[in-house]
Amino acid sequence: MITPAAYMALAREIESRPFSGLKVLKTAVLSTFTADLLKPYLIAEGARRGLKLDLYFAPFNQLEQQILNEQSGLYHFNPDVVILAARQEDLISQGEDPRFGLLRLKSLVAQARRQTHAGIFAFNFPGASQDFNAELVQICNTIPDIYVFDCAAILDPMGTQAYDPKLWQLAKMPFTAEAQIRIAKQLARDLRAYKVPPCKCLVLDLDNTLWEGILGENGSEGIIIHKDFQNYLLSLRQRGIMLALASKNTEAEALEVFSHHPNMVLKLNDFSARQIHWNDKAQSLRAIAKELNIGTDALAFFDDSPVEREWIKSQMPEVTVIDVPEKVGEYVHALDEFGVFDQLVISEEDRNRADLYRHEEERKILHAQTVSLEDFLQKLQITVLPEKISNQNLQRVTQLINKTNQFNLTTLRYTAAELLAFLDADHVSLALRVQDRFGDYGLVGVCLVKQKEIGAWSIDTLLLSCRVLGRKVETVFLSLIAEEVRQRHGRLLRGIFRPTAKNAPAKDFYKDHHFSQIDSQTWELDLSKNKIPIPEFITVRFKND
Amino acid sequence: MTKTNADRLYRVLSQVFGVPAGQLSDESSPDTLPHWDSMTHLNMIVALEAEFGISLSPEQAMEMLSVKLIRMILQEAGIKDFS
Repeated sequence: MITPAAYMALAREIESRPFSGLKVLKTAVLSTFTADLLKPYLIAEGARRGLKLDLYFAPFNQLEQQILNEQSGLYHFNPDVVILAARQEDLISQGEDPRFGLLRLKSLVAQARRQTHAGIFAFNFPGASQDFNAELVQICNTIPDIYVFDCAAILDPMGTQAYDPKLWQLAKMPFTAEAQIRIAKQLARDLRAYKVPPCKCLVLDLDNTLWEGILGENGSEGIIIHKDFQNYLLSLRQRGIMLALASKNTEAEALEVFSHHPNMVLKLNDFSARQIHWNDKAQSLRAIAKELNIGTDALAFFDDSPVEREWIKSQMPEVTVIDVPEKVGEYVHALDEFGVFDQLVISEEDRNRADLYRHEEERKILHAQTVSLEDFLQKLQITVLPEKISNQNLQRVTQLINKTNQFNLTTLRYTAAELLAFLDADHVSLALRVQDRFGDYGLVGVCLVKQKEIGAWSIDTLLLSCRVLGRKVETVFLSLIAEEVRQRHGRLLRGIFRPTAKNAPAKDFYKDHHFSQIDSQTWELDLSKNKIPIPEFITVRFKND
Repeated sequence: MTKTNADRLYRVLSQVFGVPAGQLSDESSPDTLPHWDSMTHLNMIVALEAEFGISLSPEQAMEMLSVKLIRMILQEAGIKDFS
């Protein structure tokens, strides 16, 4: 739960960003209460859903004054959307029949429609009978491009929790903070559905998304299927939304889970496209869009990794990136309330306008600076903490050695006791901890190097957990080892790559670091002629610092 | 080290008014902070109530015209330890 104060800080930050890839929506609000207090929540919830809400709040309780006056602030503002938020009791005078309120609203909406092409959202009436609110819907159906904002659905279930008499007295704001936030969320959702065509395809990750665990590390027996989430995804599929997969995994292994795992709810043919390989996910998304013949702006991206999400946001601002919560139990709610598949009925005229606007935005995106991979990695603030293998980390190191399959150059397995033999002077042994802006990954790398002949050191084991791949941490590993070996007067560093069914990601490792190939599995680097620099964007912190 | 209520107060005010906590003091008021206007004052009331789990009266809300006064009123409302 984000606090009101946090929303305020967030809204300020969003408003201060220059062009951010968000779609601008000029939104005017006319109300019989102080709607201005909703602003921070609207800005933040709008931004989450890809909208930059440019808000105009008309002076308090000015409905006719704004709508009937052609020179009013409302029309000067030239809105894309007008929100009419009037309380039932404010539309009539004391003792008057509530139906007069409906008539007044109808008149206001009809007048506004004559003066502006903006979409109009009219709040319905909490506490009113279903019939009364149904009449409002009827009225709106007679005038084009008018929608009912169902605030009754939000406020009525909250009962007294929705209303704050003190805030009404103080500020003419009838609603509690909690109610305000919920209203803002739903309004942001509806505004998005108005402005942006619904997403057509949901692209999903596999590890820690469709199942708990990492297939490459835990194996098919070790993963736990997220059945509830998969059932929800199936319901989306049945609604006509396409599903696709974008996962960094070994395809054969992943496909096996679909064909053989007893608890999988989703089948492979529930997915309209799949990209399961070790390359960059932005490429995957583009390939998926191309295959399905839809625009990349019709994609929604659901991935548990904040790094992947940030990457896609920076590379493809037109893709809707869903905020994935930490707890699996919240996945369904988070995806649902984002509203990317919401559909608002819009007229042909508005569809054309929406298209025109979209082309404008696309042009802006092309001209805006794309974030380079270097910039992105820089912003990750990656810190690598090397440490010697010792009794403190022996258990974790042993685990890594025996479980890591993908980025593992030789896949040699050792027991803890056997590992202790690597701690003498004829060996260099290193373990790596990695942290970045998003958290601490713990101990994720192990390297064991042995002096085979005087001056020639051979890398017996080099592995990294797949959760830290793609950040050049491997380069840091080599750099540190090269330095260590050099200090021991080593001149040659040799690496062996033993191919297995699972370690394709490590195949070009030595080649990429300019080792020379000596035979089919062995690579060599002359340390007197080559240095392996540590990538600029990575900070290395030794234990004594 | 636990967060004192003073820390919590300063953090909330920092978020509401867009001013680093280090620049806030007892004397901070609508006269000294450019973003502290009538609308953000109301936001502040909402934010303080949410942070401290209290409900302020309209009178208390209107009297909170400086950080010093905010502290006093919060203490009246039962929030202690403003060291």
